[in-house]
Amino acid sequence: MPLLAGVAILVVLAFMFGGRNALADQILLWQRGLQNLMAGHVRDIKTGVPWASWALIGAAFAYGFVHAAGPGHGKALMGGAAMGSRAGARKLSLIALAASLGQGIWAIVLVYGGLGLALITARQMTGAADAYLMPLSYAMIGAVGLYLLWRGVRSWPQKSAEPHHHHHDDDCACGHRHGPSRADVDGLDNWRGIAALIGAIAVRPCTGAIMLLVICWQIGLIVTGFWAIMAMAFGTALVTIIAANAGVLVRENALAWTSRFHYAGRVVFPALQIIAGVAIILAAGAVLARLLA
Amino acid sequence: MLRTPARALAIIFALSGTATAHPHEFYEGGADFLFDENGHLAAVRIVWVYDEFTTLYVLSENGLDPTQSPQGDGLDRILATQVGWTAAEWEGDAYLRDDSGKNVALGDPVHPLATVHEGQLVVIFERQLAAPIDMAAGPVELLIYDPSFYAQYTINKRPRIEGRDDCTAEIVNFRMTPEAALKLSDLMALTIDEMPDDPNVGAEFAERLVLKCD
Repeated sequence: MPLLAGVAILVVLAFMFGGRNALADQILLWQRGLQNLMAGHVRDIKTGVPWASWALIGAAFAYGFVHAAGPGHGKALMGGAAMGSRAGARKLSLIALAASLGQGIWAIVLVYGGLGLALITARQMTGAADAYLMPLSYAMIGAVGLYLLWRGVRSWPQKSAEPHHHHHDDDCACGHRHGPSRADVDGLDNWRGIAALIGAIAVRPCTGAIMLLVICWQIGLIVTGFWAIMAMAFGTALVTIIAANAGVLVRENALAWTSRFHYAGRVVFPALQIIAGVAIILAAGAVLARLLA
Repeated sequence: MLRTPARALAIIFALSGTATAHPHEFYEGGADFLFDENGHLAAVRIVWVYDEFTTLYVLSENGLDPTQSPQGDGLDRILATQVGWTAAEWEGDAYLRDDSGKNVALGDPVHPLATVHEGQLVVIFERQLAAPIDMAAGPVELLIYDPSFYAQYTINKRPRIEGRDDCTAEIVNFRMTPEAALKLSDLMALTIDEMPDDPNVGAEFAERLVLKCD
């Protein structure tokens, strides 16, 4: 079990710190290849090549996956949230899916809404978004981090308080329930926590998606562009779902393993929350500080 | 290049939770060296071959059919957006250094051409040297890179030398090392890549042409 936990921790750390690795150039190469593939399919649609729309949608899905698998911190947020909450794998997977789809829909609303309804140019639209969306996004991410940190600090156990009392809640499969009650620490048991997490990820559309949408809008492939972006969102969802599940794996192993030591068993969960919270705050705060500077 | 619009776009939107924002545009091509009647290096001719996705973006943003080479008005719009900048506004991702390592200023783009070849926008233009270089002093070096590394360049076109036949130009491509790959990984993870910590980080990934004359 400790071995499994260790392996899982490594996986999550790799995800959390953006997969800093020597394969970055390889990922970049794939991404570039997929971008060009998408471009080719768009041209094929214009020249009437059969099935070109489906080919574009397929390439967009692959692009979403590769893009999300590269260095970046959307996975970090999901993995961190998984470690810092007691939400189940299924719930977190659904949140990850909702966040990615929300990201795609938000991109569509921004580009099609901005270009279509508001009748403004891409340049003006992006100028406005520049001023507001980016700081907003990082402020939201920072808020998720603060929330986790606050939950962790609040549920930190007093050393003297009932050190040997075992709870055996029916809803806890592991049977070891040292520490705060479920309601106390379940950071994602209310709609606010969930909405903050989804919002923090969804509010920041990816450059590739925006560029593809601008292209599709300009050359009259509006519906195809919509489906391509949704496919791209499913591709990124796959990666964030993996990150969420890795986070759950680490959390469950850490809880199960440390539960045999009474005090450790009681602090491990708040500690995970604090670590995840601080990491997210630091990452978001650094960006925010530079944006607002 | 689509500097202003696409970069603005990227700054804003590079922030996908999953974004790998730098680099986001890819250019191939290279440069030629043009000598004057005194045998001094007087100008460089820059060739940019845009990646297909960026090409599509530039063409569609200018309201052009992405399957055709731009003509007439469309061509003018492409040239205006891609080479309508001045040297005072932007260094053009090209840096010429004489044998002492000193930068030699390049002028505004002149004699621009644009066409689309096999799905890739090709833009060619010349830049005059502020002060022509007498090559007797030693080799000069032309570095091609975007300081912010938003765009990544690859020199894959053999440099031509016009006006002298006793000179050679050698391509020195950037070689990926494990250290550089880690740096690249950091840049890709940086979602505000518009402003990497090191504003000149792109120089680490520079492509070079080394020009020597006998």
